[in-house]
Formats: sequence, C-alpha cells, structure tokens
Amino acid sequence: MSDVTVPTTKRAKKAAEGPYGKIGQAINELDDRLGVAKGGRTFMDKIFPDHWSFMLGEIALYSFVILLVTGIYLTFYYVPSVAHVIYHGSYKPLDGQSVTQAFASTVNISFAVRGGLLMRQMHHWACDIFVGSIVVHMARVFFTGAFRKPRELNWTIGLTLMILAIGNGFLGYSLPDDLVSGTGIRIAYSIMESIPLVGTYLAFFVFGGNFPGTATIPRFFILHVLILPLVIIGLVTAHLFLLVRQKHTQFPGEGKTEKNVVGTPMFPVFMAKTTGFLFIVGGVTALLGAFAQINPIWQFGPYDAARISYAVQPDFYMGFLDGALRIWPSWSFASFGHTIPFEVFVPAVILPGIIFNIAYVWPMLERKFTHDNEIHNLLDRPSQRPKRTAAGVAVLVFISMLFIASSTDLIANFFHLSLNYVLWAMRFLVIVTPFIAYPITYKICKELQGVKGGGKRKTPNVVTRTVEGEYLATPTPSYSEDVMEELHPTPVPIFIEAEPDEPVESGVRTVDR
Amino acid sequence: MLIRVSNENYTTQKGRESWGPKGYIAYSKLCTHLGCPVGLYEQELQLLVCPCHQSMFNVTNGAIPEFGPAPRPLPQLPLYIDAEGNIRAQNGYDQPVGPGFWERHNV
Ligand code: FES
Repeated sequence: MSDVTVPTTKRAKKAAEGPYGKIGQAINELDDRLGVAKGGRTFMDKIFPDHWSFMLGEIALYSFVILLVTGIYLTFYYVPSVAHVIYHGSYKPLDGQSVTQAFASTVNISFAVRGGLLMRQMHHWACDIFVGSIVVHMARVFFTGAFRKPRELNWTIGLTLMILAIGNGFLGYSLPDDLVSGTGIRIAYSIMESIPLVGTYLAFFVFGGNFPGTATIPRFFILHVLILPLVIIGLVTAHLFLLVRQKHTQFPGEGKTEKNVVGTPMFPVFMAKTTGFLFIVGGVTALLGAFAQINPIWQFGPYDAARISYAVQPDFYMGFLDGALRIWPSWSFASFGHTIPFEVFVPAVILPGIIFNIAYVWPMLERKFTHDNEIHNLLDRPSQRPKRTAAGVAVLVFISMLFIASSTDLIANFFHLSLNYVLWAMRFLVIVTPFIAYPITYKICKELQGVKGGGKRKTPNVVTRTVEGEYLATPTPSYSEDVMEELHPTPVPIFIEAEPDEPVESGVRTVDR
Repeated sequence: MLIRVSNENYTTQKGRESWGPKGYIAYSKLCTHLGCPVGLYEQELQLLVCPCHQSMFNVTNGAIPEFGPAPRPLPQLPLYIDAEGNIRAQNGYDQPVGPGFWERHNV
C-alpha cells in the first residue's frame, strides 16, 4: 500500500523511463537512430515449431561455435611450418629429436600450454560432432521431405556445408604433421594425382609441388583457419537466413496447415531453450575433451615419409572413402603411354562424386518423378513416402558398409579370420545389402501406413481392481494434438482466426506464412 | 628397402639375374596403390604388407602384388657389391616409383 501512496524520487525516475525500464529506454534510443525495432520484432516473433528432431541442426551450429572458439585458442600457439627444430619440450620421450615446428608446437600445446590439451581435444571432438550432426540433420531433412519446394536451395547449401566440413576436418587433422596425418596427406595427394589428364598438375597446384613438400602445411593452415571457415560462416548465415525467411517446417497436427506455423516464439521461449542447448553441447564437448583421449600425436611421432604405423585410420567421416579404396579391385589401365589408375580414381573420385551429385539433384529428381510442384511446409512421416525412405536407407546402408570395409584388417584380426575372406565378404555385402535394405524398408513403411494410430503417442490404460478382485483396463482418451487426421491435414478455422500474434496459454502461437 | 632373402645371388625375375648379389634385394618402399610406405614384413610368407589398404607384395618373385588394391609390383633396385664389399645400386629404378598418374608410361 505504501508503495502507491508514497512516491519516492526513485520511483519518479522509473516512471520517466517508460514501462520497460532502462533497457526499454536504451532500445528506444537505438530505434530512433537505427530503426531496429521492426526487424527486431520480426526476429523475436519468429516461430519455432517443436519437435525433437529439429535440434539436430542446432547441435551442428553450436559445435561450429565451439570449433571457432577453441580453434582461435589453438592458433595462438600453433606454428604452421615444416622447418625442423630439435625438440626440447616437456614430453621427454621425444627429447632431442628433430621434428617440424608444426609437430613440436602441437606437442607443446598438448603438454606445455595451459588448457592446451583440453582445447585440442575439444576442437577435435567438436569437429567429429559437427560432421556427425550435419549428417544426422541431413538424414532428418531427407526422410521428412523438408528439402522439397520451396527449400531446395537450402538443401543445396546444407550439402555444400557438409562437404566443406569434411574437407576442413581433413585439413585440420593434417596440421600437426604427425605420422598418421602425414600418411593421410600422402593418400590425398595420390588421389588427386589419379585424375586423368590434369591430376599431376592439379596435385602440384594444390600441394605446392611434389610430395612431401614444404608448402603443404602452411597452405593447409591458411585454408583451415581462414578461407574455409569464412566460406562456412557465409553459408551458415545464408542457411539461417533462408530458414527465417521461409519459416520452419512442421509436422502435421492440430491446427498445423501448409499456410501457418505453430510453435513457440523466438523470445522468450525458444531463446531460453536454444541457449540452454548451446551450453549442453558445449558441456558435452568439454567432458569429451577432458576425459576421452583423441588423436594423441605424441604417441604416433613426427611424420617421416619412410615410416608408418599399423592400423592407420582416418577420422570417421573419411572412413567410407578408405573402405572404398580397400575393396575396389586393382584394375589399372595403362597403354598409349598413359596410365589411368582406376584402382584409385573410381573409388576415391568417381564414387563420392556420384553420391554427392545424386544428393544435390535429389530434390529435382523427386519433383520430376512425382510431378509434385506444390509448396510444402508440412513434413512427411518417413512411412508416408516408402520409395524415398527406402532409397535413403539403401544409400545409408551402402555408405555404412563402405565404412565398415575401412576396418577389414581389424575385423580379420579380431575374429581371427583370413583377411581375404573378410575382403570378399565386404565386397559382396557392399553391393548386396542396399538391395536387401530397399525392399525391407519399403515393406515396413507400407506396414506402418496400415497401422491405426501409427506415429501417435499411445495413451495409457488405467487398470482398476474391483471389490470382487476383477481387473479392468480402461483406455484413457488420446492426446488432443494427436486426434487430427494427419495424412491430409485440413485447416482448423477456429484456431487460425484466433488473433495470430497473441500468445496462447501454452506459449504456442500460430502465425500465417 | 633392403631385404636379404638367401646367401647366394638371388634372381627375382628373368632379366634381373645380376640384381640380387649375395641374396640382397632392394625394392621401392612406396606402395603402388597410394604411396604409403610398405612398412610391414610377413616373414613366414615372405610378403611385404602395406598397412594402409593391405596390399601384399611377394618378395621372392619381384614384389608382384598378391593381394589388395595395388596394381603393380614394387619397382626393384638393381644392386651390386663393390670391391670394398659395400652394397651399391647399379643405377636408378627403371620406372617411376609410387602410385599411378596420367603421364606414367606403361611398363
Ligand atoms: S597405399 Fe598401399 S595399399 Fe593403399
């Protein structure tokens, strides 16, 4: 009561600031000069539909943020040079050895720089999470048909981002100049060299001369820390801009149509959720960096073109290429004074080329075959599109098999099998399993379509016991969001005519597209 | 890399009769698949193994690939033993070492 009746000077000041206090005043000042209110309003009001699978892209985004932060820290201490120095650091087993500065500085980061090893391992883990989450995010987009008109361009950008992420991952992996990564550069060089006609020139151009050269590491460094990150940042910005511009897709459900977006607004709900999620991704990466060793280069030792270690394997996202190189037969072509190393060119250049190009043109292919030129803002359930789902699963199975084929030697060792059998088994499985996966997936989709209430949450049965000792199961009513017909969602007039900009009680809003 | 396969002069292939004095033979270490160093030696089977994609080369017959994706044998370096007993190369390799490329002549 006294609050109202006895105004203090403080209170009077507050009143002068307007209803939103100091922050509001500051924003007003800003708006007067820059006109930020309108754009800010649109941004704050952006609606995010809710589904767990929509967080996969967020994981990718946040692991990229972690990559940037940890990467900047690493650039303070890393020396991109292959000039030799005698190592006299804190890692005694290497003491007195002649190593490159790149290697020495990476060992130093791991042992001498405060927090260096944590940063290195977080950076490496974040990269694996980055590529992994992009792949899973793409699978989500593919299987739910989120790439369809009008979002084909964003599919293309996303796919490019994945390729760039893999490429930059490889470049970064090469920088420590250790025995394992050096072998990786050697292989990359030979792959480039295998391209007919231009291969030799291309490899010289990219690697700055023959292998092993002194130009490679400094070049890779600039590409890794400057050029590719800039391109990635640019494309991520475009990706997110298109996302805001075209608005998010949503699964069919109560009140959700092709023409509206139902979900929580950017401010305050989504912002709180997504910021929390940033910290979760950061926290998990920090835990991994702290407790899970990754790429202990001091155990591999410095690169030496004549040395190698057993069971050399690249990061997981390179696995499918390695597997393809292993199982492809040794068919080389040599005549007319020229050699075409098909044993390398086909599995390492043609094959990924085909896979990625099919992925690029898939939205167009699907439009052509289905004659579906409509705008789609509602997502498919994978079971609704058996052919697409089956094709996607077949490709994933194919790539997974190639990935497994990159461990033929480990499999043979572990199970005490002949390497020859393992190799032939993998050759066979790589070709056959996709053809098995396709019809099985197709069939499962068809079956799922027939299931009543498929894709909807099950409601519990309440079991009661009567006085006589008889048990009764009474079904509870289904969740209100789940009772809608999902395959051909129809607009729900009442919901849409409700004031679109007013938040409804749950914090869920509907706005027109 | 240098391997000693016997105590007498050793011939891996026709035309290479003088290349393996006192059983010493030398091969390029660069795998003809993708250029990894062929760094493992399976002594019982006398196979050189490339750890990258498991190509295996038979030491006794001129490093002909017996398994794996490598398309060509490892080039052999012709050796001789000079008057002081040092092992020396008669001359260089008769073909480019390492993986294939467009300008490589067919041998
Ligand atoms: S590099 Fe030797 S088998 Fe591939």
